[in-house]
Amino acid sequence: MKKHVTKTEKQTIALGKKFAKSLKGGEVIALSGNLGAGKTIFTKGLAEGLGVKKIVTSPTFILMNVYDVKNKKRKGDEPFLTPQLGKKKSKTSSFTRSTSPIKKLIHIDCYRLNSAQELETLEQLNILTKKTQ
Amino acid sequence: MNKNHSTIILGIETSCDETAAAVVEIKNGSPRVEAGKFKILSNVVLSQINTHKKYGGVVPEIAARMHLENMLPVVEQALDESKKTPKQIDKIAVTVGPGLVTSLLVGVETAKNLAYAWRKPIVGVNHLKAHLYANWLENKTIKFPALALIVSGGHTEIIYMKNKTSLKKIGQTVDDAAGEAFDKVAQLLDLPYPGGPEVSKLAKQGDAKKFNFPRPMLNSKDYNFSFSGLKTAVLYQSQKIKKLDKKTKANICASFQQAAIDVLVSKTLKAAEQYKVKTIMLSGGVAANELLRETLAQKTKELKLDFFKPAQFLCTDNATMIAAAATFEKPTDWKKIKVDSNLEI
Repeated sequence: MKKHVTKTEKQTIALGKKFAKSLKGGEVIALSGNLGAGKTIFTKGLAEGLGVKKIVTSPTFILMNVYDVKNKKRKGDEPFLTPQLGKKKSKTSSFTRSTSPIKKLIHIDCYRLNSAQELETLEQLNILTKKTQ
Repeated sequence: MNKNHSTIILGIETSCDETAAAVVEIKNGSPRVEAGKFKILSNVVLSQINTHKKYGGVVPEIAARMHLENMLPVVEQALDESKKTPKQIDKIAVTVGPGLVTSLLVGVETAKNLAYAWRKPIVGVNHLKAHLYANWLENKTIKFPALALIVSGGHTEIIYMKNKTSLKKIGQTVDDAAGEAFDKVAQLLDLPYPGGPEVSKLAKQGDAKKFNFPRPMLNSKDYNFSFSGLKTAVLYQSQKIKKLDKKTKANICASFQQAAIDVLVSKTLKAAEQYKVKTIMLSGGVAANELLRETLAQKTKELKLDFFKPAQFLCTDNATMIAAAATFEKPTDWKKIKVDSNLEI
Protein backbone atom coordinates (compact mmCIF):
# COMPACT_ATOMS: atom_id res chain seq x y z
CA MET A 1 0.00 0.00 0.00
CA LYS A 2 1.28 3.39 -0.98
CA LYS A 3 1.21 6.23 1.48
CA HIS A 4 1.05 9.89 0.58
CA VAL A 5 1.17 12.70 3.09
CA THR A 6 -0.14 16.12 2.14
CA LYS A 7 0.24 19.14 4.34
CA THR A 8 -1.74 21.83 2.59
CA GLU A 9 -4.98 22.16 0.68
CA LYS A 10 -3.01 22.70 -2.51
CA GLN A 11 -1.09 19.47 -2.03
CA THR A 12 -4.30 17.52 -1.37
CA ILE A 13 -5.86 18.94 -4.53
CA ALA A 14 -2.75 18.07 -6.51
CA LEU A 15 -2.82 14.53 -5.18
CA GLY A 16 -6.48 14.18 -6.17
CA LYS A 17 -5.70 15.46 -9.63
CA LYS A 18 -2.84 13.04 -10.05
CA PHE A 19 -4.93 10.16 -8.72
CA ALA A 20 -7.69 10.98 -11.22
CA LYS A 21 -5.37 10.07 -14.05
CA SER A 22 -5.05 6.53 -12.83
CA LEU A 23 -8.81 5.96 -12.95
CA LYS A 24 -10.48 4.05 -15.73
CA GLY A 25 -14.11 4.27 -14.66
CA GLY A 26 -16.17 2.06 -12.38
CA GLU A 27 -13.94 2.51 -9.38
CA VAL A 28 -15.31 3.11 -5.91
CA ILE A 29 -13.04 5.28 -3.81
CA ALA A 30 -13.51 5.36 -0.07
CA LEU A 31 -12.55 8.57 1.68
CA SER A 32 -12.34 8.07 5.38
CA GLY A 33 -11.35 10.70 7.88
CA ASN A 34 -12.55 13.10 10.51
CA LEU A 35 -14.24 16.40 9.95
CA GLY A 36 -11.78 18.71 8.26
CA ALA A 37 -9.48 15.89 7.13
CA GLY A 38 -9.71 17.05 3.52
CA LYS A 39 -12.14 14.58 1.96
CA THR A 40 -14.00 17.21 -0.04
CA ILE A 41 -10.73 18.94 -0.96
CA PHE A 42 -9.34 15.67 -2.31
CA THR A 43 -12.53 15.20 -4.33
CA LYS A 44 -12.11 18.70 -5.74
CA GLY A 45 -8.70 17.70 -7.09
CA LEU A 46 -10.05 14.43 -8.36
CA ALA A 47 -12.90 16.19 -10.16
CA GLU A 48 -10.55 18.71 -11.67
CA GLY A 49 -8.31 15.93 -12.89
CA LEU A 50 -11.28 14.21 -14.52
CA GLY A 51 -12.45 17.40 -16.21
CA VAL A 52 -15.51 18.21 -14.14
CA LYS A 53 -16.46 21.80 -14.83
CA LYS A 54 -18.78 22.45 -11.93
CA ILE A 55 -17.64 23.50 -8.48
CA VAL A 56 -17.43 20.45 -6.25
CA THR A 57 -19.16 21.20 -2.97
CA SER A 58 -19.73 19.15 0.14
CA PRO A 59 -22.33 16.40 -0.39
CA THR A 60 -23.41 16.43 3.25
CA PHE A 61 -26.79 18.02 2.70
CA ILE A 62 -28.20 16.06 -0.21
CA LEU A 63 -25.90 13.06 0.36
CA MET A 64 -25.09 12.54 -3.26
CA ASN A 65 -23.77 14.96 -5.85
CA VAL A 66 -23.53 13.83 -9.45
CA TYR A 67 -21.11 15.61 -11.76
CA ASP A 68 -20.81 15.24 -15.49
CA VAL A 69 -17.28 14.68 -16.68
CA LYS A 70 -17.09 17.08 -19.58
CA ASN A 71 -15.57 16.40 -22.92
CA LYS A 72 -13.34 19.01 -24.52
CA LYS A 73 -16.23 20.30 -26.57
CA ARG A 74 -18.06 22.90 -24.59
CA LYS A 75 -21.50 23.40 -26.07
CA GLY A 76 -24.15 20.75 -26.39
CA ASP A 77 -22.02 18.08 -24.85
CA GLU A 78 -24.62 17.02 -22.32
CA PRO A 79 -26.06 14.61 -21.66
CA PHE A 80 -25.40 11.82 -24.10
CA LEU A 81 -21.78 12.10 -24.88
CA THR A 82 -19.99 9.26 -26.54
CA PRO A 83 -16.60 8.84 -25.01
CA GLN A 84 -13.78 8.69 -27.45
CA LEU A 85 -12.55 5.26 -26.65
CA GLY A 86 -9.48 3.72 -28.10
CA LYS A 87 -7.39 6.85 -28.18
CA LYS A 88 -4.32 6.94 -26.07
CA LYS A 89 -4.36 9.14 -23.03
CA SER A 90 -2.41 12.31 -23.43
CA LYS A 91 0.19 13.11 -20.83
CA THR A 92 -1.08 16.58 -20.03
CA SER A 93 -3.98 16.62 -17.66
CA SER A 94 -6.05 19.13 -19.58
CA PHE A 95 -6.41 16.70 -22.43
CA THR A 96 -7.05 13.50 -20.56
CA ARG A 97 -10.69 14.37 -20.13
CA SER A 98 -11.34 14.21 -23.84
CA THR A 99 -10.18 10.65 -24.00
CA SER A 100 -11.45 9.41 -20.66
CA PRO A 101 -14.28 6.88 -20.78
CA ILE A 102 -15.49 8.22 -17.43
CA LYS A 103 -18.81 10.00 -17.80
CA LYS A 104 -19.82 10.81 -14.29
CA LEU A 105 -18.30 11.47 -10.92
CA ILE A 106 -20.60 10.62 -8.03
CA HIS A 107 -19.69 12.11 -4.68
CA ILE A 108 -21.46 10.53 -1.73
CA ASP A 109 -21.58 11.32 1.97
CA CYS A 110 -22.08 8.02 3.79
CA TYR A 111 -22.10 9.50 7.26
CA ARG A 112 -25.82 9.21 7.85
CA LEU A 113 -26.54 6.05 5.91
CA ASN A 114 -27.53 3.02 7.94
CA SER A 115 -26.67 0.32 5.44
CA ALA A 116 -25.22 -0.37 2.03
CA GLN A 117 -28.73 -1.17 0.87
CA GLU A 118 -29.72 2.42 1.52
CA LEU A 119 -26.90 3.63 -0.64
CA GLU A 120 -28.06 1.41 -3.46
CA THR A 121 -31.61 2.72 -3.21
CA LEU A 122 -30.34 6.27 -3.19
CA GLU A 123 -28.20 5.72 -6.23
CA GLN A 124 -30.93 4.01 -8.19
CA LEU A 125 -33.42 6.72 -7.34
CA ASN A 126 -30.98 9.42 -8.36
CA ILE A 127 -30.32 7.80 -11.69
CA LEU A 128 -33.99 7.07 -12.32
CA THR A 129 -35.14 10.56 -11.52
CA LYS A 130 -32.41 12.41 -13.38
CA LYS A 131 -34.06 14.80 -15.78
CA THR A 132 -31.92 13.82 -18.72
CA GLN A 133 -33.08 10.23 -18.82
CA MET B 1 -58.85 37.76 -16.48
CA ASN B 2 -61.62 38.93 -14.22
CA LYS B 3 -60.43 41.63 -11.82
CA ASN B 4 -61.93 39.90 -8.82
CA HIS B 5 -60.81 36.49 -9.84
CA SER B 6 -58.65 34.67 -7.34
CA THR B 7 -56.40 31.67 -7.78
CA ILE B 8 -56.06 29.09 -5.04
CA ILE B 9 -52.75 27.24 -4.94
CA LEU B 10 -51.90 24.17 -2.91
CA GLY B 11 -48.18 23.99 -2.18
CA ILE B 12 -46.33 20.82 -1.18
CA GLU B 13 -42.78 20.62 0.15
CA THR B 14 -40.72 17.59 1.25
CA SER B 15 -37.16 18.35 0.18
CA CYS B 16 -35.51 17.53 3.48
CA ASP B 17 -36.97 16.73 6.89
CA GLU B 18 -40.06 18.90 6.92
CA THR B 19 -43.37 17.63 5.56
CA ALA B 20 -45.26 20.75 4.54
CA ALA B 21 -48.42 21.82 2.77
CA ALA B 22 -49.99 25.25 2.41
CA VAL B 23 -52.88 26.93 0.66
CA VAL B 24 -52.31 30.41 -0.75
CA GLU B 25 -54.85 32.63 -2.43
CA ILE B 26 -53.74 35.04 -5.16
CA LYS B 27 -56.30 37.82 -5.33
CA ASN B 28 -57.64 40.51 -7.64
CA GLY B 29 -56.80 38.72 -10.84
CA SER B 30 -53.10 39.05 -10.20
CA PRO B 31 -51.02 36.45 -12.02
CA ARG B 32 -48.34 36.45 -9.33
CA VAL B 33 -47.72 36.94 -5.65
CA GLU B 34 -47.55 40.69 -5.20
CA ALA B 35 -47.93 43.14 -2.35
CA GLY B 36 -51.55 43.24 -1.22
CA LYS B 37 -52.65 40.61 -3.68
CA PHE B 38 -52.34 37.40 -1.77
CA LYS B 39 -53.42 35.69 1.39
CA ILE B 40 -51.87 32.74 3.19
CA LEU B 41 -54.89 30.58 4.01
CA SER B 42 -52.95 27.82 5.72
CA ASN B 43 -49.34 26.86 6.38
CA VAL B 44 -48.77 23.43 7.87
CA VAL B 45 -45.23 22.27 8.65
CA LEU B 46 -44.51 18.98 10.32
CA SER B 47 -40.89 18.87 11.39
CA GLN B 48 -39.03 15.62 11.92
CA ILE B 49 -36.22 17.31 13.83
CA ASN B 50 -36.88 15.42 17.06
CA THR B 51 -36.53 12.09 15.29
CA HIS B 52 -33.29 12.99 13.51
CA LYS B 53 -31.81 14.64 16.57
CA LYS B 54 -30.55 11.39 17.99
CA TYR B 55 -28.62 10.66 14.80
CA GLY B 56 -27.02 14.10 14.60
CA GLY B 57 -28.49 14.76 11.17
CA VAL B 58 -31.22 13.82 8.74
CA VAL B 59 -31.32 10.08 8.06
CA PRO B 60 -32.66 9.77 4.52
CA GLU B 61 -34.48 6.48 4.91
CA ILE B 62 -36.24 7.54 8.09
CA ALA B 63 -37.09 10.92 6.56
CA ALA B 64 -38.70 9.29 3.54
CA ARG B 65 -40.74 6.93 5.67
CA MET B 66 -41.98 9.75 7.88
CA HIS B 67 -42.86 11.88 4.87
CA LEU B 68 -44.93 8.98 3.56
CA GLU B 69 -46.78 8.62 6.83
CA ASN B 70 -47.45 12.31 7.26
CA MET B 71 -47.90 13.65 3.76
CA LEU B 72 -51.63 13.10 3.30
CA PRO B 73 -52.63 14.15 6.83
CA VAL B 74 -50.57 17.32 6.37
CA VAL B 75 -52.28 18.08 3.03
CA GLU B 76 -55.64 17.38 4.61
CA GLN B 77 -54.91 19.72 7.50
CA ALA B 78 -53.77 22.47 5.12
CA LEU B 79 -57.03 22.13 3.19
CA ASP B 80 -59.12 22.06 6.38
CA GLU B 81 -57.48 25.15 7.83
CA SER B 82 -57.88 27.03 4.56
CA LYS B 83 -61.57 26.02 4.45
CA LYS B 84 -61.11 25.04 0.83
CA THR B 85 -62.18 21.84 -0.84
CA PRO B 86 -60.09 20.05 -3.46
CA LYS B 87 -62.58 21.33 -6.02
CA GLN B 88 -61.67 24.93 -5.22
CA ILE B 89 -57.94 24.38 -5.74
CA ASP B 90 -56.77 25.85 -9.05
CA LYS B 91 -53.18 24.70 -9.07
CA ILE B 92 -50.83 22.35 -7.27
CA ALA B 93 -47.22 23.41 -6.65
CA VAL B 94 -44.50 21.01 -5.54
CA THR B 95 -40.78 21.13 -4.83
CA VAL B 96 -38.88 19.06 -7.41
CA GLY B 97 -35.38 19.86 -6.12
CA PRO B 98 -32.77 20.42 -4.91
CA GLY B 99 -32.89 18.16 -1.88
CA LEU B 100 -32.78 14.60 -0.72
CA VAL B 101 -34.05 12.43 -3.52
CA THR B 102 -35.82 10.01 -1.17
CA SER B 103 -37.64 12.89 0.53
CA LEU B 104 -38.43 14.81 -2.64
CA LEU B 105 -40.05 11.78 -4.24
CA VAL B 106 -42.77 11.57 -1.61
CA GLY B 107 -43.97 15.13 -2.18
CA VAL B 108 -43.63 14.91 -5.94
CA GLU B 109 -45.50 11.62 -6.26
CA THR B 110 -48.24 12.85 -3.94
CA ALA B 111 -48.63 16.06 -5.91
CA LYS B 112 -48.73 14.18 -9.19
CA ASN B 113 -51.34 11.80 -7.87
CA LEU B 114 -53.49 14.66 -6.62
CA ALA B 115 -53.09 16.55 -9.89
CA TYR B 116 -54.20 13.48 -11.78
CA ALA B 117 -57.08 12.57 -9.50
CA TRP B 118 -58.37 16.13 -9.11
CA ARG B 119 -57.51 17.11 -12.69
CA LYS B 120 -55.48 20.16 -11.71
CA PRO B 121 -52.52 21.83 -13.37
CA ILE B 122 -49.25 21.23 -11.56
CA VAL B 123 -46.11 23.34 -11.23
CA GLY B 124 -42.67 21.96 -10.37
CA VAL B 125 -40.84 24.40 -8.12
CA ASN B 126 -37.13 24.93 -7.49
CA HIS B 127 -36.68 24.98 -3.72
CA LEU B 128 -33.96 27.65 -3.87
CA LYS B 129 -36.07 29.96 -6.00
CA ALA B 130 -38.87 29.45 -3.51
CA HIS B 131 -36.62 30.62 -0.66
CA LEU B 132 -35.98 33.73 -2.68
CA TYR B 133 -39.61 34.34 -3.60
CA ALA B 134 -40.52 34.05 0.09
CA ASN B 135 -39.52 37.72 0.15
CA TRP B 136 -42.57 38.49 -1.99
CA LEU B 137 -44.71 37.40 0.95
CA GLU B 138 -43.54 40.43 2.93
CA ASN B 139 -46.29 42.46 1.29
CA LYS B 140 -44.03 45.24 0.04
CA THR B 141 -43.02 46.20 -3.46
CA ILE B 142 -39.50 45.11 -4.35
CA LYS B 143 -37.34 47.49 -6.37
CA PHE B 144 -35.02 46.18 -9.03
CA PRO B 145 -32.27 45.40 -9.70
CA ALA B 146 -32.02 43.32 -6.56
CA LEU B 147 -29.62 40.93 -4.93
CA ALA B 148 -30.55 37.86 -2.94
CA LEU B 149 -28.37 36.02 -0.47
CA ILE B 150 -29.67 32.49 -0.01
CA VAL B 151 -28.16 30.75 2.99
CA SER B 152 -29.26 27.35 4.20
CA GLY B 153 -27.99 23.99 5.36
CA GLY B 154 -27.31 22.95 1.81
CA HIS B 155 -26.68 26.18 -0.05
CA THR B 156 -24.96 29.54 0.07
CA GLU B 157 -25.56 31.57 -3.06
CA ILE B 158 -25.77 35.15 -4.25
CA ILE B 159 -28.40 35.71 -6.92
CA TYR B 160 -28.67 38.82 -9.04
CA MET B 161 -32.15 39.76 -10.21
CA LYS B 162 -32.57 42.26 -13.02
CA ASN B 163 -36.31 41.92 -12.69
CA LYS B 164 -38.67 39.59 -10.87
CA THR B 165 -38.16 36.66 -13.20
CA SER B 166 -34.53 37.06 -14.23
CA LEU B 167 -32.29 35.16 -11.82
CA LYS B 168 -28.56 34.89 -12.22
CA LYS B 169 -26.25 33.12 -9.81
CA ILE B 170 -23.17 35.29 -9.36
CA GLY B 171 -21.58 33.54 -6.39
CA GLN B 172 -21.77 30.37 -4.35
CA THR B 173 -19.90 28.33 -1.78
CA VAL B 174 -17.01 26.36 -3.19
CA ASP B 175 -17.20 23.75 -0.43
CA ASP B 176 -19.51 23.69 2.62
CA ALA B 177 -22.74 25.66 2.85
CA ALA B 178 -22.90 28.24 5.65
CA GLY B 179 -25.57 26.27 7.49
CA GLU B 180 -23.50 23.14 7.18
CA ALA B 181 -20.54 24.91 8.79
CA PHE B 182 -22.79 25.90 11.70
CA ASP B 183 -23.99 22.30 12.03
CA LYS B 184 -20.48 20.90 11.89
CA VAL B 185 -19.13 23.37 14.43
CA ALA B 186 -21.98 22.34 16.71
CA GLN B 187 -20.97 18.74 16.19
CA LEU B 188 -17.35 19.54 17.10
CA LEU B 189 -18.49 21.15 20.30
CA ASP B 190 -20.94 18.40 21.17
CA LEU B 191 -23.96 20.65 20.81
CA PRO B 192 -27.29 19.10 19.86
CA TYR B 193 -28.72 18.94 16.33
CA PRO B 194 -29.74 21.10 14.50
CA GLY B 195 -26.56 22.96 15.26
CA GLY B 196 -27.23 26.35 13.71
CA PRO B 197 -29.65 27.70 16.33
CA GLU B 198 -27.58 26.09 19.14
CA VAL B 199 -24.39 27.82 17.99
CA SER B 200 -26.11 31.22 17.80
CA LYS B 201 -27.74 30.69 21.17
CA LEU B 202 -24.45 29.90 22.86
CA ALA B 203 -22.69 32.66 20.91
CA LYS B 204 -24.81 35.23 22.74
CA GLN B 205 -22.93 34.43 25.95
CA GLY B 206 -19.54 34.46 24.29
CA ASP B 207 -16.91 36.95 23.19
CA ALA B 208 -16.68 37.21 19.40
CA LYS B 209 -13.16 38.62 19.64
CA LYS B 210 -11.75 35.83 21.75
CA PHE B 211 -10.57 33.76 18.82
CA ASN B 212 -9.43 35.16 15.54
CA PHE B 213 -10.81 32.66 13.07
CA PRO B 214 -10.09 33.08 9.36
CA ARG B 215 -12.47 34.90 7.05
CA PRO B 216 -12.01 32.67 4.00
CA MET B 217 -12.10 34.32 0.59
CA LEU B 218 -12.96 37.67 2.11
CA ASN B 219 -10.71 39.45 -0.34
CA SER B 220 -11.16 37.22 -3.36
CA LYS B 221 -12.37 39.06 -6.43
CA ASP B 222 -15.38 36.85 -7.05
CA TYR B 223 -18.55 36.46 -4.99
CA ASN B 224 -17.84 32.92 -3.92
CA PHE B 225 -17.67 31.67 -0.35
CA SER B 226 -15.71 29.00 1.45
CA PHE B 227 -16.57 27.71 4.89
CA SER B 228 -14.63 24.47 5.02
CA GLY B 229 -11.37 26.11 6.16
CA LEU B 230 -13.20 28.05 8.84
CA LYS B 231 -14.70 24.84 10.17
CA THR B 232 -11.24 23.23 10.20
CA ALA B 233 -9.82 26.24 12.06
CA VAL B 234 -12.49 25.77 14.70
CA LEU B 235 -11.58 22.08 14.90
CA TYR B 236 -7.88 22.80 15.45
CA GLN B 237 -8.65 25.49 17.99
CA SER B 238 -10.96 23.24 19.98
CA GLN B 239 -8.38 20.44 19.93
CA LYS B 240 -5.77 22.82 21.38
CA ILE B 241 -7.91 23.51 24.40
CA LYS B 242 -7.75 20.70 26.93
CA LYS B 243 -11.00 21.31 28.70
CA LEU B 244 -13.84 22.77 26.72
CA ASP B 245 -16.02 24.36 29.36
CA LYS B 246 -19.21 26.19 28.53
CA LYS B 247 -17.54 29.60 28.56
CA THR B 248 -14.90 28.51 26.05
CA LYS B 249 -17.50 26.89 23.86
CA ALA B 250 -19.51 30.11 23.93
CA ASN B 251 -16.43 32.09 22.91
CA ILE B 252 -15.72 29.67 20.07
CA CYS B 253 -19.33 29.89 18.89
CA ALA B 254 -19.34 33.68 19.02
CA SER B 255 -15.99 33.99 17.23
CA PHE B 256 -16.96 31.44 14.59
CA GLN B 257 -20.36 33.01 13.99
CA GLN B 258 -18.77 36.43 13.62
CA ALA B 259 -16.27 35.12 11.08
CA ALA B 260 -18.97 33.41 9.01
CA ILE B 261 -21.27 36.43 9.09
CA ASP B 262 -18.45 38.85 8.28
CA VAL B 263 -17.82 36.98 5.05
CA LEU B 264 -21.50 36.61 4.14
CA VAL B 265 -22.24 40.27 4.73
CA SER B 266 -19.08 41.67 3.16
CA LYS B 267 -19.44 39.63 -0.04
CA THR B 268 -23.11 40.53 -0.37
CA LEU B 269 -22.40 44.23 0.06
CA LYS B 270 -19.53 44.07 -2.43
CA ALA B 271 -21.83 42.47 -4.99
CA ALA B 272 -24.54 45.02 -4.22
CA GLU B 273 -22.14 47.83 -4.94
CA GLN B 274 -20.79 46.27 -8.13
CA TYR B 275 -24.25 45.50 -9.51
CA LYS B 276 -25.73 48.80 -8.30
CA VAL B 277 -28.79 47.17 -6.83
CA LYS B 278 -31.63 48.89 -5.02
CA THR B 279 -32.66 45.97 -2.86
CA ILE B 280 -30.98 43.25 -0.86
CA MET B 281 -32.92 40.14 0.12
CA LEU B 282 -31.98 37.51 2.64
CA SER B 283 -33.44 34.01 2.39
CA GLY B 284 -33.06 30.42 3.51
CA GLY B 285 -32.86 28.67 6.84
CA VAL B 286 -29.77 30.56 8.03
CA ALA B 287 -31.63 33.81 7.36
CA ALA B 288 -33.27 33.02 10.69
CA ASN B 289 -29.91 33.81 12.33
CA GLU B 290 -30.45 36.99 14.31
CA LEU B 291 -26.95 38.39 14.04
CA LEU B 292 -26.95 37.92 10.27
CA ARG B 293 -30.35 39.55 9.92
CA GLU B 294 -29.39 42.49 12.11
CA THR B 295 -25.97 43.06 10.59
CA LEU B 296 -27.26 42.96 7.04
CA ALA B 297 -30.24 45.15 7.92
CA GLN B 298 -28.00 47.77 9.47
CA LYS B 299 -25.46 47.79 6.64
CA THR B 300 -28.11 48.07 3.95
CA LYS B 301 -29.63 50.96 5.85
CA GLU B 302 -26.29 52.75 5.81
CA LEU B 303 -26.15 52.25 2.06
CA LYS B 304 -29.77 53.44 1.73
CA LEU B 305 -30.86 50.20 0.12
CA ASP B 306 -34.13 48.37 0.67
CA PHE B 307 -33.72 45.29 2.81
CA PHE B 308 -36.01 42.29 2.75
CA LYS B 309 -36.08 39.22 4.88
CA PRO B 310 -38.98 36.82 5.14
CA ALA B 311 -40.66 36.32 8.51
CA GLN B 312 -39.02 33.54 10.54
CA PHE B 313 -41.67 30.95 9.66
CA LEU B 314 -41.11 31.62 5.97
CA CYS B 315 -37.29 31.36 6.21
CA THR B 316 -37.23 27.75 7.28
CA ASP B 317 -38.67 25.15 4.91
CA ASN B 318 -42.38 25.63 4.28
CA ALA B 319 -44.91 25.11 1.50
CA THR B 320 -46.23 28.68 1.39
CA MET B 321 -43.07 29.79 -0.39
CA ILE B 322 -43.50 26.89 -2.82
CA ALA B 323 -47.01 28.07 -3.70
CA ALA B 324 -45.71 31.64 -4.01
CA ALA B 325 -42.83 30.64 -6.29
CA ALA B 326 -45.22 28.64 -8.46
CA THR B 327 -46.87 31.88 -9.56
CA PHE B 328 -43.66 32.73 -11.41
CA GLU B 329 -43.64 29.49 -13.37
CA LYS B 330 -45.88 27.86 -15.92
CA PRO B 331 -47.95 24.80 -15.04
CA THR B 332 -47.20 21.63 -16.88
CA ASP B 333 -48.50 18.15 -17.48
CA TRP B 334 -48.13 15.95 -14.38
CA LYS B 335 -46.26 13.40 -16.46
CA LYS B 336 -43.48 15.89 -16.99
CA ILE B 337 -42.85 16.58 -13.32
CA LYS B 338 -39.63 14.91 -12.22
CA VAL B 339 -37.44 15.04 -9.18
CA ASP B 340 -33.98 16.53 -9.67
CA SER B 341 -32.00 16.43 -6.44
CA ASN B 342 -29.13 18.46 -7.92
CA LEU B 343 -31.33 21.18 -9.41
CA GLU B 344 -29.71 24.63 -9.55
CA ILE B 345 -30.86 28.19 -10.02
